[in-house]
Amino acid sequence: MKRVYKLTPYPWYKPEETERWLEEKARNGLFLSKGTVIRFFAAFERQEPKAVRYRLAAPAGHSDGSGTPSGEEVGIAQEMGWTYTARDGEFAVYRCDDTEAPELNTDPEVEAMSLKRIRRRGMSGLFSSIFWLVLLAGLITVGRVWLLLLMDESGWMVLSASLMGLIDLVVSAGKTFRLWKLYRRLKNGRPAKERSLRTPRRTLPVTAAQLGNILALITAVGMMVNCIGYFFTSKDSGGIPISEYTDSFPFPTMAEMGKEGSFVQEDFQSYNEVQEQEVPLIGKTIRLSENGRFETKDGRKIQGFWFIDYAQCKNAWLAREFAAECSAEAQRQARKSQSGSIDLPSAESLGLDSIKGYPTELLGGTTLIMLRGDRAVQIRFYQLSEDTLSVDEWAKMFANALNEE
Amino acid sequence: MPKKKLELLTESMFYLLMAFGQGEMCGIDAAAWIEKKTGGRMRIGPATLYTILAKFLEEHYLEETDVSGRKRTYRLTAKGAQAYRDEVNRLTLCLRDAGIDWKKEESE
Repeated sequence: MKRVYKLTPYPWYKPEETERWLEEKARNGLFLSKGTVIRFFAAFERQEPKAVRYRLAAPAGHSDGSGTPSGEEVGIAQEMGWTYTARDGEFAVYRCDDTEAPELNTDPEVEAMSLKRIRRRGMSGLFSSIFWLVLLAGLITVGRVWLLLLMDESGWMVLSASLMGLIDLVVSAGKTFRLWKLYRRLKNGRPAKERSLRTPRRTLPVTAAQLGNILALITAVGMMVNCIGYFFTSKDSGGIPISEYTDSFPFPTMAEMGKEGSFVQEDFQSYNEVQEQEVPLIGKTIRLSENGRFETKDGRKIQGFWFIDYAQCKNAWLAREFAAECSAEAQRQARKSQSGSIDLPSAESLGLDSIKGYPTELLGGTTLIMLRGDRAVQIRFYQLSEDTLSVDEWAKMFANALNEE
Repeated sequence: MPKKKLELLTESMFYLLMAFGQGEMCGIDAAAWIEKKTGGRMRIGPATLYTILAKFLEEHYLEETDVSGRKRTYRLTAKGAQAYRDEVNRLTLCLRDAGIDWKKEESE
């Protein structure tokens, strides 16, 4: 028989609303298909309209929590006029065509007992969601890694995972609260006959659960698309050779730092590449790695490599947060190195909002983080030659670039 | 914290203990006996019946004596019989406090 699919208006932890929705559908000739699972959609079959009773019951005994009752439970229900039809979350859905058959649950306090297991599982799910969100909040605030994670290719995955985590927490909390309310009502002996009297009020064409399901579906599909995209694009670094970059850099490159024509690029692994992206929430970012040597105007021969992370953020607050995250990461690396602190010129003298410097963990390099308005830049440079540029010189070069409008 | 045992029996639980006190039977037969005994006043639904049976097995008020396909037969244990007697005594005391001598009323 051809099935008709309907978006479920209520989540599984609202059994009374679901029961009335199913009974309303039956009065209109749509009957829940046997052996199905209600999730975002419920499957129906068209038959002659009639009044039937649908009830949701938590499987008793040693249920696996899937909403599937045991054979004995189904058998007892069958003998007493109730047919096990489908699963809805952790509930089993039963249908009764016999108006003389007793209610599925005739003792509210006993019904409350059967909800205990479900409530306990719901609570552990809620605690788990809270734990992961606290961890995420810790990473964002104390650990300061969120914006840096977004700059990675997996930016959208981080966002969608965070969003799904939030949705999960809200849903878990709502589920726990609803089940607790139902449990309390049953524990206080609310008579089962009240079920048939109340009609759910709906003032909008869609329910909150339907909206939530649609949002969850969109987020899940978005995350899947991003995962697939990440899988296919992560095989290469995502950058292009510096020589192929057609725009002008908002900071000096090695070729511009020395005497004209003195720069020699050293080809090594994935160096000498640039990656420009528009990162959600941050703005435009440029990541550059360069390896080479050049001669300064005063004859010093400099050889080394560097990494630049530049961000032109949507606003000054984001730029500050970006600079703070870079600083936090650089500080973590600096703690592992044996080098002392770095003397820096003042931010004021360079026309910047702030400047921070740390030794790198390896190879005696230096990390500088500079901030001006809505722009921030982190430079990690490693000088391998005997001749070097001082930290002051590095700082002035990049500060001048940031000061340019 | 140890699991809390059944402290107060609900009406459904009390009548099921009463039914199994009559002898070995399956759950459906127990529910039918109760309906007949109470003249239709007490009807036990299948989900309630199964939940109570599961709980009574857990509390060792009942033990399984036979399994035939989906049909299982139970009998009341000594612990279950004691729980029933305790409940009867409790209800008797309640009636006495209310000034009702049910034994006298029954004989009248």
